[in-house]
Amino acid sequence: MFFTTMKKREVVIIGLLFIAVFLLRIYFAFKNPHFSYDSYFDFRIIEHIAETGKLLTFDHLAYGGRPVIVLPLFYYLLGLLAWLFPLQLVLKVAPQLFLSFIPVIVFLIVGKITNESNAAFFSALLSVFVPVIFVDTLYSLSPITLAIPLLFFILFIFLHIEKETSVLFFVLVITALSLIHPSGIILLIAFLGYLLVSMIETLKLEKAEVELIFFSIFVFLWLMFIFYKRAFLFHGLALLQQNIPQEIVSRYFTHISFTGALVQIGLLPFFGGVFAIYKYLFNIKNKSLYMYISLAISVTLLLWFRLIQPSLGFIFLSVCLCILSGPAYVFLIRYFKKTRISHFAPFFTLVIWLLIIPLMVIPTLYLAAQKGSLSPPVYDAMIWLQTHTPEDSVVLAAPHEGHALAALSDRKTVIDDYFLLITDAEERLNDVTRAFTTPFATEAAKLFGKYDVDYVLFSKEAKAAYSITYLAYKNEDCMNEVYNQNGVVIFNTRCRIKIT
Amino acid sequence: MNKKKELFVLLPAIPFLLFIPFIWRLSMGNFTLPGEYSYYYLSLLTRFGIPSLQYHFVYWLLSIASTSFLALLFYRIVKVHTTSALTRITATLFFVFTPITLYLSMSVSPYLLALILLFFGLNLIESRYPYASILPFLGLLFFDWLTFLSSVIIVVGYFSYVGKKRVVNIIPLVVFFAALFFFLHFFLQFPFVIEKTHPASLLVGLFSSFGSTHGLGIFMTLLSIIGLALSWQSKMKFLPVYICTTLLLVLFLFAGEPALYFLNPIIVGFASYAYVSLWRREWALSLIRTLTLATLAYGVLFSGLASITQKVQSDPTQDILASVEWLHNHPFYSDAVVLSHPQKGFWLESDGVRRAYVDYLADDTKQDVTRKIFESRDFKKTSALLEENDITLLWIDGEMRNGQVWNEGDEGLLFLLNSGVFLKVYNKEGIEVWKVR
Repeated sequence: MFFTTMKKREVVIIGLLFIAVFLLRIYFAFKNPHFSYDSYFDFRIIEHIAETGKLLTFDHLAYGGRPVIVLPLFYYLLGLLAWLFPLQLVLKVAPQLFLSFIPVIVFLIVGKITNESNAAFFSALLSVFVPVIFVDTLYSLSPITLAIPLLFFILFIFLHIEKETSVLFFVLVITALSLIHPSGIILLIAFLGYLLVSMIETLKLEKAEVELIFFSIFVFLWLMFIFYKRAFLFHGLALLQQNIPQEIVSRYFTHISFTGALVQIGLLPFFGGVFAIYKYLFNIKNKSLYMYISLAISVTLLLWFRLIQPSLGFIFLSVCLCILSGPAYVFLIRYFKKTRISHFAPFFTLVIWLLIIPLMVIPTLYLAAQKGSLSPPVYDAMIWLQTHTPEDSVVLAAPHEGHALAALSDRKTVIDDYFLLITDAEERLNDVTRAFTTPFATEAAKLFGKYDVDYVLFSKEAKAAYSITYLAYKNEDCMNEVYNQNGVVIFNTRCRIKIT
Repeated sequence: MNKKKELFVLLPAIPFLLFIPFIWRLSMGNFTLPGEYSYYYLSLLTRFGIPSLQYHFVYWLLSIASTSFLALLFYRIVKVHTTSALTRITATLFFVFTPITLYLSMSVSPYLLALILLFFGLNLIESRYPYASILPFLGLLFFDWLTFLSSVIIVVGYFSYVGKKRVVNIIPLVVFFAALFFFLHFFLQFPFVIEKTHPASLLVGLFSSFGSTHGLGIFMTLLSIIGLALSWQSKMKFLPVYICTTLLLVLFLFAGEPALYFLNPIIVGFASYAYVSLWRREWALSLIRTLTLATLAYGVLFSGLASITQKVQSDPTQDILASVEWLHNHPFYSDAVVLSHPQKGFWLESDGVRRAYVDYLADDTKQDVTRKIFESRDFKKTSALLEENDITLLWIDGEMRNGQVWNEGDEGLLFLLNSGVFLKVYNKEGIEVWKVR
């Protein structure tokens, strides 16, 4: 129904683009058999559904046992696919398939806004090669891989609300998004921003638009309160920051700079998007663009106030800027045609298209080739733990390795980077940091006693995270080196001090 | 729908809704009233020879009956101000299913009585005998200052809203009532307390969805904001209501959660106004209308159900009160000072004997001593503190052992209990009473 206005040539082009993007992503995804560290959290939930048909609600391994609260739809979808196809195949292919829809949706949105297929294809191509989207999601199993295309698909449907069937689509997709990832809140903020901008610009809003916006707000809030009720009762409003310790929040944001943001988003979408925001917010009125402008502004504000993880924020921001680059492209080409050197217009157009190669394609492919997931030595060490240690052992590792450790070695962990419903998150984080960095064997033994640690996994990543080259107390009698391969060392902790 | 038919709907619906938590808790084999403050008020009733350790289901039934009466009084107030049956029924059902009303129906609380008196007075204002409303308003003088102040705000606001009197005309009456209030409270020491559940933050205290027992429903509040926005077209008419809402919110911020008992009916008023307006509004998308109204209704229902679940599953249990009864009947320990978590204080004193060392009303010094005793693993220090404060017994339950006070089996005072220097004198269903040897 949304494709009825498209020409056959456009359908073919966008179809080919989708296939090409999917194959490219798959090529990179299969270059490494493992997933990113945090994806092993999702891996365990999907694996649990595939095995039992039930959602994992209590994790016996992480933190020695803790409840798990997640939105279920994405996990059930992949769990269901895992009944039909091999699990590893589903986990590698499905997220890449979902993400490959982003350029298609961008094409459709820009095509609808500008009525220019060239601009639509330009924006779609940009969205393929945005570094943060292409690289950060390559080995990911996060529900966000489905939430991003769905969120922008909702915005696309929103452009068609005059059609009867699109309302039903809107209802289904917004409900699905609310059951997939809490990032749907970004959409709500964008909706409210859209209402605000439209009011400021004194544009008449369609009754149906307002109705859909309010429906989205209510349904999203309702579902959030149902699923996160326990977390709300537990954390109150602190839930908005997912109970992530301040130290980790600051660490996320200390590495962000303007240049860093440019690299993540890509130069062309950044400048194209910013230009469009300036032009359409201050000079030209265009209601359909205000939604994307308000989304871009909302995400920027959320990033500014540190209410969203930088990589997630940059992903949403970059798709928005890619969409906005379409109208900017149209404006520039039309403007050029009005100048005295208009006979150079084809050359100018060609230059813009060619710029995609050095500014987007090459950096993205280079970064994708460099992108690492769980390193093979760490993987081997975790598998070793599974086969050579007692089943009830507790293993201490850096927080980011926690999920992978639980998933691969099937052993209890002291910490990971999912902090929801954890009462002593800050304390644990500090204790784990001290356990790796303390020069005193007695302090380490006290901490091992506190968390009943049997083994310590000391990897290159942990060295980098704590800026150390070795455990200062490793030569003490209390630490017995039981594994040492390719820079990953596992110690058996023979001493524990219990404070009584 | 005529008014008889409305009552035909409401009269069975109100008690039915209020009976849900009662039946639910009873089906779990727990015949006690949930929460803590009810036991404080029950302990006061023992002065009049009213038994407090038994017949809880009778008190609960009385609360349900009183809350049903309150809901009907609320319905009558709404009836005066709207001709729409839909608004009246929606408002009344919303009112019944708010976490606050549900809480009142499950507890013994003077605030329930205060609200009944207030609503009864407001009803009488609209009757043939408006001056008779002075009688229930006089009754409000016997409650705490927060109830008095909230009632004054509502009554003055109501007069201004209905345009019966100009505010300046009723100021002398308010001053007279205030003087009477101070006079009464100067000579008679009423043992009322201002209930506080010590929320982690103001927002947590404001909304039941964030954990408050006295809080507002989040969807109800959301709807009331829409109602407030819709009422803005007649802002001069609604000005007294806006002022009332603001003042009650200020009272909540500075005085405590019970101010929400008085704010709740206004929130419900705005919420039902919004809901009915959305119902009647001409929608461009009929599917979205149905779904939006359903989501909002489910949201309100969900807040109520969540609040019911939370309260029905909350302590005390029969076993907790059995341990209090054991203390009550014990020849040596019946008036011994007992140390436990502050949350258990009112339960331990529910038989009318002031034996709990700390409860929600304890000062900071007592709270500090309690913390020190619970954390200490030094017997000398602990026994000195126990002796200094005349504490004879320690009352410990599973909740205290599993996170409320301690996380590990040998943490703090538990280490001393395991070491044999204390004697366990009571041990049933996870409830232990210990005495220094």
